[in-house]
Amino acid sequence: MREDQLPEPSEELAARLLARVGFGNRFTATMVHPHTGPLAMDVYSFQHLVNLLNAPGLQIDFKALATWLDKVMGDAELAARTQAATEEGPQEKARSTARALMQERLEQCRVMIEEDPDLE
Amino acid sequence: MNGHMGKILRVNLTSRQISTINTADYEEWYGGHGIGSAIAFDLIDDWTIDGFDPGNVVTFMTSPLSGTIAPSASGRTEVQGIGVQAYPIAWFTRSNFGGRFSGMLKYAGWDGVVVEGAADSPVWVDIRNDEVQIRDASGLWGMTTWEAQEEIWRQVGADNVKDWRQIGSGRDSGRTTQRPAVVAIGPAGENLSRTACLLHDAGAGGGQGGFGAVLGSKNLKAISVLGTGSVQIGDPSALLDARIWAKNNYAMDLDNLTDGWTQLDFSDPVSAGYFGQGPLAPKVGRPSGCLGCISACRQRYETGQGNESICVEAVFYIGYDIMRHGQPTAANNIAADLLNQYGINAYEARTMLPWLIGLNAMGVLGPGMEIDTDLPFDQLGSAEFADVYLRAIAFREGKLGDDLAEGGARCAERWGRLDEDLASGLLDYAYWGLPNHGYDPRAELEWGYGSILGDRDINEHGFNPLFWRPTGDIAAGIEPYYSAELVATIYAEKMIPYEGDPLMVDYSTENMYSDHWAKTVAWQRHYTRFWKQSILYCDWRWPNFYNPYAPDDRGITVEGEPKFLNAVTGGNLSFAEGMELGRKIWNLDNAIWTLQGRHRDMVHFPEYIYTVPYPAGMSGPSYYLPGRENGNWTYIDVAGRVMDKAKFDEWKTKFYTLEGWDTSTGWPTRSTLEGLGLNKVADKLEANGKLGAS
Repeated sequence: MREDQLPEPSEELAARLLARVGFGNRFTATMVHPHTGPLAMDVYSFQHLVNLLNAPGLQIDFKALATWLDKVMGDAELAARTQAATEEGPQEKARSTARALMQERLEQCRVMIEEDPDLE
Repeated sequence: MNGHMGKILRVNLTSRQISTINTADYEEWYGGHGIGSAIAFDLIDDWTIDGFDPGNVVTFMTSPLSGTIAPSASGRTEVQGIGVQAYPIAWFTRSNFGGRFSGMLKYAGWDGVVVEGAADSPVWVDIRNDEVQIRDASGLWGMTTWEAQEEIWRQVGADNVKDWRQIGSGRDSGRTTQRPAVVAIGPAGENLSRTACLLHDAGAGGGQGGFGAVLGSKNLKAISVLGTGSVQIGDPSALLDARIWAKNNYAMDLDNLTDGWTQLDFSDPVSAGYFGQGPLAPKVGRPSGCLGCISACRQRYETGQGNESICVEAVFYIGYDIMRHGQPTAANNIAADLLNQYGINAYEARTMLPWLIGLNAMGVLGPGMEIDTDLPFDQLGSAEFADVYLRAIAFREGKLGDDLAEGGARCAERWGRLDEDLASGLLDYAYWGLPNHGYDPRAELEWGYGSILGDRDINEHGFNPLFWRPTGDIAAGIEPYYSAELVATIYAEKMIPYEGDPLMVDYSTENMYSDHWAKTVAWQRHYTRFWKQSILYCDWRWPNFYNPYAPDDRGITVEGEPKFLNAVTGGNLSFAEGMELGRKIWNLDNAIWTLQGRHRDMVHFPEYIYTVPYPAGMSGPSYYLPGRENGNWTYIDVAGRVMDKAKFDEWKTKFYTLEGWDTSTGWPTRSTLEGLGLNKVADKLEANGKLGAS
């Protein structure tokens, strides 16, 4: 186990991270493109958000992300790690760091819980 | 006038008569939008008719620069008529598409096409130089936009691109290897969806206004044109010199790139690697451009998917594709193709989708819910979902499709959700029941003000570098390439006739309801009405205010626009005179909207623009724009801002005063109209009880 590896989530947390959230708990990111300007992207699951972090032109408020991970997803550990890793530096670097952390957590969850069959 | 072909084609679909209008009769307007508005004003008597009424007139106009080597000005076509998309009144409006239609129309000898009436059965218009036929389109009806174009190519004998085609019977009547340029409607237009667009070639769409449905209501499937002539240039040597001058002074130096945000400059090189789907496509592509363009921002791909899509149609589905698959896949490109083939406005498709997803998450829309639908949200992000969703709109499939085909605003009204969802902003329709472009009124003031004072989402990007450069640089962790004070100075220099006022680009909240912003909005309305929409310089290349490769960082705008125009016409029009013509056209348009029922009291944004903070800063990027803070120029973050409804209302008085309009109604006055030579327009307003008080 790497020194900085995220500790295993509980089964309850893993299930929560793999579930969809309701309208009031959605996370909103922004995709920017020169022709369209910034366009909001509402995200209703942790898995979708991890995937969306690969999108070109995606912009994230990392404080809002950490709050969402903590309060909505209930993952205080991931929230704290994400916040610490994204507090400084340019948006692109922070996004890459956050993506790596969240991808790691997602894989831990997938090992623990069978994947959502709706997702490819 | 050199650059004009001398005649405009007039097609009456009701009587099936074909006639001509002398371009010289409308020469004072130069081309494009100006001529289109003037012809529509002359031909439409009752301006309270619906866009679906056979009395509606649709114009397709070129400019003197169409079909010439003027950079990024040769391939645009301006479309006008009473629309069917805006809400609650579908204004007399405009759309515009690129490609090669306008140039081909000129080569065939025509400066435009005016469509009147409605056919009693499906038809298409076949133009081959002077020979014009209204042909039976019963075999084309039901086809997608692509299928219809291919079938027309076959019927014109142009299905093999390598063959020479003879036009006419005479030896010198003309030969060409070109295919006809065809603008067509798809199933969405045939089914009178208010979201229906016009489509030319693979991806050149005229999206706004619902003109696909207007043509559908006229039973007009397509207009095809094949020409073998040429455009008379007033001073060919000057035109060539102007091209060389522009290249030497404003073109990007590939060996000495300044930074990563130069895409927005006139000087940019082939940008296929950035725009549209370049970095998103699963396969390699090559650049493709509109006629005469220096940029070639479209692409064609090895896969054949997503070809020539460049604007929002190329990215409207990308986020869902990536959310599902973790990376861009063919689903995004297939979605773009379906959109184009069905002939649907990309912004409506894009903006209705998150609204539907939100309603589903709220438990309002879905199987067995209040709005009962079997739209397969579990397949969102797949090509299959895109097809189901877009087919529903285009074919009015089921109750959901029939409602969505009305566009977001009217759909929400049918569902009794319009007020609630515009209050919350879940339905992100920012002006006249039309989708928010993304350059939000709470941030980019010229975009919001210009749209609500006009007829549509203006879709004019000339001020966007003020956001892109600093926001991009700051997001990348580097100092903005230009200081806020310098860009304000450069913009102020170029905003003739209001030059010398840098506060015209001070986006601070303290300045946003000022007289300075009245001038900014007036400048942009006048500039675009003439230089972009009448002379048809491409919005994505013009204007160019600042340019890191240019002398003193000053871009080509002011000097460039008239230089190319005068070389073609042989005239001597100044930039300022062009701006005054833009003011004239803008006044004519406002007179028409007045006749349609506009009053200043209805000129307001939906409630969320006044109450919900612009969310960019809370959930996405900061939104930096130049402005003053404690008297000093800086880049200010306008995210989180709302617009003050009362202050905006007061600001309209400043704008109307500057334009010389009645401040209590927003209607044009006789003195302003007559000062522009629009006496007959004043007479018409007076006869209808709509003339503003001086």
